[in-house]
Amino acid sequence: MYPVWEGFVLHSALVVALVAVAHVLFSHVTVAATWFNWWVERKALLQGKPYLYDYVKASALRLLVLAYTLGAMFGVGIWFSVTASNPRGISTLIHNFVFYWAAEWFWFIIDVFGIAVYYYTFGRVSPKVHNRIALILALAATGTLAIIVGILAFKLSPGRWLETGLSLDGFYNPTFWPMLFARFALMFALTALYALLVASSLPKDHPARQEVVPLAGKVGLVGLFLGVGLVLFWYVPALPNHAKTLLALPQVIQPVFYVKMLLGVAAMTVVFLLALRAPGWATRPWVPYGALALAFLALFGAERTREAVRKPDVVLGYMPSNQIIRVDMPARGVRREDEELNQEGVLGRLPFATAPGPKGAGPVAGVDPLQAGRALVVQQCSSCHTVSPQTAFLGGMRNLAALFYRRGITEAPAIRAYLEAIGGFPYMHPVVGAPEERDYMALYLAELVRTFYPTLAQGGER
Amino acid sequence: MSPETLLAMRDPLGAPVHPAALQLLLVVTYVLHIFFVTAAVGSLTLGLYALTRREENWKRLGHVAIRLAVQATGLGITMGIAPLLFVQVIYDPFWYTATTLMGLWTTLFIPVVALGYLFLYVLYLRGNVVGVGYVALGLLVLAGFIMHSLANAGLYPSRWVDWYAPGGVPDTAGVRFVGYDLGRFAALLFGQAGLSLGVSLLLFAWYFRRREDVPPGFLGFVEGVARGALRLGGILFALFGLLWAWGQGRELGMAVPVVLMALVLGALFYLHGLRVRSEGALSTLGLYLMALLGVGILREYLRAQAAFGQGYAVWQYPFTWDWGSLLFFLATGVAAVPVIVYLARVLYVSGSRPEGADPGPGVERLGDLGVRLLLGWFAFYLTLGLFVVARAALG
Repeated sequence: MYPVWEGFVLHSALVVALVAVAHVLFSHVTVAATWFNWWVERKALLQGKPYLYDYVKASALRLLVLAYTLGAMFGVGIWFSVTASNPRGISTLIHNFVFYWAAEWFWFIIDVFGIAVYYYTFGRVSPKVHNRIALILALAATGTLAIIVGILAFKLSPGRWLETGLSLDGFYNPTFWPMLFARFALMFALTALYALLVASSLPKDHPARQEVVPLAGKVGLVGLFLGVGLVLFWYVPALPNHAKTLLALPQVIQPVFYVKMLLGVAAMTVVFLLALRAPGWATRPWVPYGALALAFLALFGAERTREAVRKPDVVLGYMPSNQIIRVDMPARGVRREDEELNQEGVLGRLPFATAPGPKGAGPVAGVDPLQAGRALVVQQCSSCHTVSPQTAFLGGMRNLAALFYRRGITEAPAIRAYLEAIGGFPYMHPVVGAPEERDYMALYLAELVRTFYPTLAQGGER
Repeated sequence: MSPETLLAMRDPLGAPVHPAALQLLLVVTYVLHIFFVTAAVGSLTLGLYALTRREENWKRLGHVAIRLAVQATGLGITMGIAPLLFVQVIYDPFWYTATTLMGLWTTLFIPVVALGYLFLYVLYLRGNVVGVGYVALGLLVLAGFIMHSLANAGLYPSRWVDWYAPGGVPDTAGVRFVGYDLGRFAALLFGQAGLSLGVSLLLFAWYFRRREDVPPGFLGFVEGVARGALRLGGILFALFGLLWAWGQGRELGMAVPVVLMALVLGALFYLHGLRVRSEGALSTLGLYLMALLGVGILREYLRAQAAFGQGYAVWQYPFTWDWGSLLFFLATGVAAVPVIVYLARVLYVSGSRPEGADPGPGVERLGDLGVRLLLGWFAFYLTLGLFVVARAALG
């Protein structure tokens, strides 16, 4: 077990979410844009339409500067933010899939090197050779998607891996196939918005603009409806039962997230229809920019929902967010850790669950109960909840003080009883630790409520 | 931190191959990563200096250096993914402890790099916004310092608990830098930046020697700057290396190897910088890559020894052969490497004439093969998936 980074101002989980959604947006655009560019360039080559190169060049420059600086890098950014916020979670993925990621690294090299070669060889090699580079870029970019989908889907549905421990079983897991095809389709919808933005940067009477806009409308509509269809009729039915249960719980997926997703889909549909019927409107920059902003919201909703339905686990059925393994996995020699921690206590067993007191005095003896409670709450709850004023920006993330205050559970005994009950919720696991340690946690949480709601400390009412 | 605790922090899943293979991959990919990173820092510094000069040759070199910095940054980041992967598998207690101790900086690392990279592009595309260039350089150096601190803090398990919980109270904000060593940082970033810049400029002068539109006088000037950069890099590497030996080297009981490395490499490249010509660019590159390999091995030796001193023998990391993942990796390598070679060949040929040039038939065939290999990879990927599904269905 490692030290805990709660976050600074922003909660660590919120940092992960923001970086992840930015990455998804940019990377999805990048992957599909390589196909779109290849197709447009192929039209230019086969149909003798050299003016289309103006569009392809404009698109390539933006991809070079934006997609590869922001898209690719924020992918690595997810990695870093998850490493800081949930090291054992990422460790599980790395130890399983290091060579899959290393394989993806080959595609990254082609992507980053390839887009530079692609951009700098415009007009310096024959159109045929250039179009081949475009195809290489598209294939390699799709390769990155193909690999990361296996790892992403694994977290939600590790499938037979839990029995066999084989990485291939984890990679080609039950939600892998629908997620692969649904993402591949949906990224064309995002790319179509990007294509409209690029086309709108060309002069109004430019023939490439007139040709690309309706093409983007068609590609966007097909990608959007195919993607949404695949999500609804293949991905959702393929979800594990646990995830399906959580999908219906408003405590886990607030209705506002469905609204965001619907809004994003509706906005994109309207813009694509405009691209087909009223191209002049579709290329007024605020129209695709507005749709892109709503698409970002929709993505936020979708990605958050995907992450939330495996609650409270990082890898469903293997490791909860508190990073304490709860199952035996004989195939890989893994033993559950919670039982031992319940018997022997957490403070003495985890090197970084530190609380003031004489060292070597046993797991629970000789410590300041409040500080001990803080260390334990930070260790077990801070992955998902704000547990101190440090991450309380704009109220924090699922702030425990606010949660208890709302429910009228403000005193240590009541909180202690609540801690015992949470193992019964489908989105929580039981608290881990010796009985005395649970007392300490309750003491700290009661103090936390008083810190956030000082009137309680003065004997005031809720 | 007791040895038992340190060993218990390893991931229970173990490694997918023998740790020696991962150590080898770690060192080799580090060489590629650090070459591009230091080339980026060196060339951006040179580019910013060149922008202050009025002479034609300096102006021209400034544009070259900034363009080089842009490409080197992109490749440096990409290459960095691989060593980062491998270090997490066999040195997980060290890496994850350091990354959470400095959590804020860990999460800021990529935004800092991305912003630096964006500013660098602004400098490249606009050409004359020097202030933006300095911000970019500052951000890239900060990113280097973050990464250095993360790598270095892992070497001191005995201080981890004190760093995390001074006085027993955990500090969960992750805002402090801990465990850095300025000598090591300066030697591996600034010393090597001079050397990487020198090698890159030599390669530039060598590549453009046949282009009739590039004046020989300019190439001679670049060659001169390259020699200067090699000499300066050699001196800096030696001086900062001695500082590194004096600090971390002494602490970890490894001052002698660090001193030897600093003096040998410093002298080697200083002397090389006195006489090398652009005709010898490729052999200089080879020599430099070998030198970086030496530095990479020294770093790994240092890390392994520091860990061993704490009771953590990295070569005893538990592992089970995971053939599925190895097959996946090798198949991807077989498909990707020819494609990378093809792209490099196209770039090489297209730059050989002012108006550009098409690659020859041999390269064309390689391109066709590359596309087929990529398509073949997707066939492999999907077939492997269907095989896994079918195997599961059959029980």
